[in-house]
Amino acid sequence: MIDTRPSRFMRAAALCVAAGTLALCGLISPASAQTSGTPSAKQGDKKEPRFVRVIFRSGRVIEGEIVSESTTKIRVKISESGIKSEVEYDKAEALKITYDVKPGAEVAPEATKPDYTPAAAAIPPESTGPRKNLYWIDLEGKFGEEITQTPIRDAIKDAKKNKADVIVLYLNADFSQNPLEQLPDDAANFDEIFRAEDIVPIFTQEIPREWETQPRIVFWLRQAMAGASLLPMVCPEIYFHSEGRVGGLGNLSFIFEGVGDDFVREKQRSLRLGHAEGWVLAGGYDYRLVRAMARAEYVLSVRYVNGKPELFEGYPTEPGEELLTDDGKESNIDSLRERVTATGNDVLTLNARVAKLLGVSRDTVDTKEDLLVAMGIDRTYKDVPGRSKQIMKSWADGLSSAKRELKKLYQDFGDVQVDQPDNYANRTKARGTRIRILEDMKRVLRRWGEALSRRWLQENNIPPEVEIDNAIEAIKIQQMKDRR
Amino acid sequence: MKHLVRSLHASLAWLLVAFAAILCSPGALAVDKIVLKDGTTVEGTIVREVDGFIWIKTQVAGVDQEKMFTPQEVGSIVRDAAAAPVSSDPVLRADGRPVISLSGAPKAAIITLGSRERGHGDTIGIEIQAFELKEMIPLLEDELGTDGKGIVVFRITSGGGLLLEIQRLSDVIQNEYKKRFRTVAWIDSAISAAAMTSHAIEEIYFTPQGNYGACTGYSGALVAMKGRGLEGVLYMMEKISARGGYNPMIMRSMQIDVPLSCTIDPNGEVHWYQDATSGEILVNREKEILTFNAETARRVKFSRGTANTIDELKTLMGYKELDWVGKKEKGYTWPISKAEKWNIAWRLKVSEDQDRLNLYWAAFQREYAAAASEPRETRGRFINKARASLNKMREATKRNPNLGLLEFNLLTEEELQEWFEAREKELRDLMK
Repeated sequence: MIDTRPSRFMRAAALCVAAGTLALCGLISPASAQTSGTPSAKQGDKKEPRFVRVIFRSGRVIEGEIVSESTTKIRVKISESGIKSEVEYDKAEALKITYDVKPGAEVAPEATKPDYTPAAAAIPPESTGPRKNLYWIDLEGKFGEEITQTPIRDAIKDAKKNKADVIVLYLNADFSQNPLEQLPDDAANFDEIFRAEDIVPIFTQEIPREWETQPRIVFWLRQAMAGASLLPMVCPEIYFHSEGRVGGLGNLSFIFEGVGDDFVREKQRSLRLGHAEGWVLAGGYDYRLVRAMARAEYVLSVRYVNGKPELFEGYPTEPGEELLTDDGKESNIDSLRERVTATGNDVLTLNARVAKLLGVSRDTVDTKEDLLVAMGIDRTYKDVPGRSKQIMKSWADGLSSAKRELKKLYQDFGDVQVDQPDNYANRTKARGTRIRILEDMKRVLRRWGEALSRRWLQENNIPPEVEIDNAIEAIKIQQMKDRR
Repeated sequence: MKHLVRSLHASLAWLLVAFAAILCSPGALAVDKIVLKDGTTVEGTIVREVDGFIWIKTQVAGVDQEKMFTPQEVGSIVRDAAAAPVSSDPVLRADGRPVISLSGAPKAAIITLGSRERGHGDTIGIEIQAFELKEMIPLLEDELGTDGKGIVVFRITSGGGLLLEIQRLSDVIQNEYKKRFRTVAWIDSAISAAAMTSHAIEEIYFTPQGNYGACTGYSGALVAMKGRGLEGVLYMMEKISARGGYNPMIMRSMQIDVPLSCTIDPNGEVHWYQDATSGEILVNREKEILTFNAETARRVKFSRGTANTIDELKTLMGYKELDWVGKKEKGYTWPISKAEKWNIAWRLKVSEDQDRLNLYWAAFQREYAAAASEPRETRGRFINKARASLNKMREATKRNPNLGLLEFNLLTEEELQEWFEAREKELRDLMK
């Protein structure tokens, strides 16, 4: 089920209309609302000025002291030809923002990393040393269908057979309702995380158990929305594509809305969040990230201490602190414009910039070569001739063919005719044909069942295996009762 | 009135027995002190010591609690001068039987309660039952010994289940396992009834992905348990919280939407408050239901630590070496003991029964109808098939009587037997 939260938008629109100022909705910036209304938690702390270097896409570089900062803008005190001024820049124009630089110093080669990712911090650069066998897996297609445990497990086995030292998984999961329409950032399907739970043990249990020398596992993310978002988060080493996005979990606060009692709905939300937080913690990340990705009322901000991001609950109160998600209430509800342009902050969607700022992404790279440079293995890697492409393709082709076969079997079952129904042999033959078709359906379901969603099965009237067994038994009884 | 008098007599008798037991208990009047390395002092009666691990019985608000401390936690012990000294070998277990000190590493077994594998089953009351835990005790004693040094680690992976099984499971853990073994919970996922079951265990560790909570009782379309029923479950969990040594406010915030906060004082003691503001750490917000993750549980000392592997768990438990009993088997991260092997097989069978009981019932009805529509002389083969289906149902419900309740709404084993006998009679009548 995909929830694009129309009801919330209607609520937002209704509020604005009630105020008689539709235009105001776009003008109320969450950041300004917060700074004026929220008491400072750390009023006594006087922060040292923080310097920043911004490299723009145009090639221009500026350095200066940060005056204020939001998700989309940064205001910097700069000095040009001895004239000091404050200038606000659009972050979208920046290619790279480096914090806590010493004015005039060279750009630090390493991006800032959070101190809450112990696993991530442990991976050494490998610019020298013996050749590393690199095994590459492309994860593309629909999450839970083409991207599913059986082909991934097979590819990992193949990687082991090929003595891989490093496994890179390029994840670009389809997030669309139909082939023509990609879903936006604010579309969500939190419950798909349970589908991810069938896949993550490959990384959290099976590889640690079955590989004597642990391979270095790297996720390179282009798109990981809804259930797919959980998959890379169990691994400590993630890189983003510049168009990368991770999210699609933002409907948790609205799940089961209107059904049953409040605190039972809360139970359902709480247990779901408990599952998702657990996997994020297993990857070495801060669980509050997933809370911000899932719960609209959760307020999360980030500050930078010694260049490292530090998450905190609540609104920013000091310059340099950045709001990640507001409480999504009243005037803070994302406007339609913000939702369309993916600039809202009711829930968190990690893009390349935010992911890097928060230390989730180690770097933003758009090519394999850049990735290998960022990983520090560009001079030491060796591609191993694995079968991952064939494995993934053969699964995708097989699944597609299995779907067609199931539809045809269903149709064939309905089409079984008994020639001359008064003939016992013909009736027996028809029953035999029906049983054979049902057995074939069972065979296909067993082989491909993990990738056939309940929705697809329902839409195509394919019964579960236990019902097929029931139908077979019923036919056998008919046969026993039949007389020549 | 007569009933009331009899109840009073019975209560008095129990009180007398309990009082006598307290008087006779060797350590009843002893006040031992354990000073922990973080400065906390715990007073009570030391009831068990094994390899530096100490179990001390204390009272909190008049309720007896048994706490366990690892050698790493204990700074010093001040024993009551009047009490007999507790020697290190042999020592007395909680049940008074001597513990035989053996050389070598202590033996430990992992027992899974639920699994992430599809079809392996993870429902409390279906694939996780008091019956199953009881059946494993002789196997575990065979493998771990009966000297009280054995360790049972319950690896819990369950999304919850039947309310009716919680008390039964808690009783087996409290009265059977904790008396025989050092009993530990290693939380992979303990939601709802699974958390309520684990709550009787003092020593809880998490996996990195672990979660624990969301214990709200409900039925049907998310309709909350209310009134007397809810009050009863809240009370049950207060008593189970005392078994595990947990402040009952923690479980209450997992059951109903009440806030919870806590403060950890300089001595490391955690003070709990059933509101969002009194404590320094907000544990559960207003109108939310609490589920711990590994980090939040560790932070407020609910979890004793986070372990991803049995090696990490061993270290957290304070051991340099542990003898994990069992054989390495493909697809399993830890050695599979005989008890665990039985456990997995039982769970698989029960899970299959659960899936197929409706199928057997449908088959029985179909075969019965076929028999009834046949002339008497040809009914036999249909009746035989119907009886075979009935026997499959009987075996399934024998393995797991809760299936009778779930599938046929039959509350007791007697009702279930009567139901089967009625079906048998129907088959016999067809042959008349």
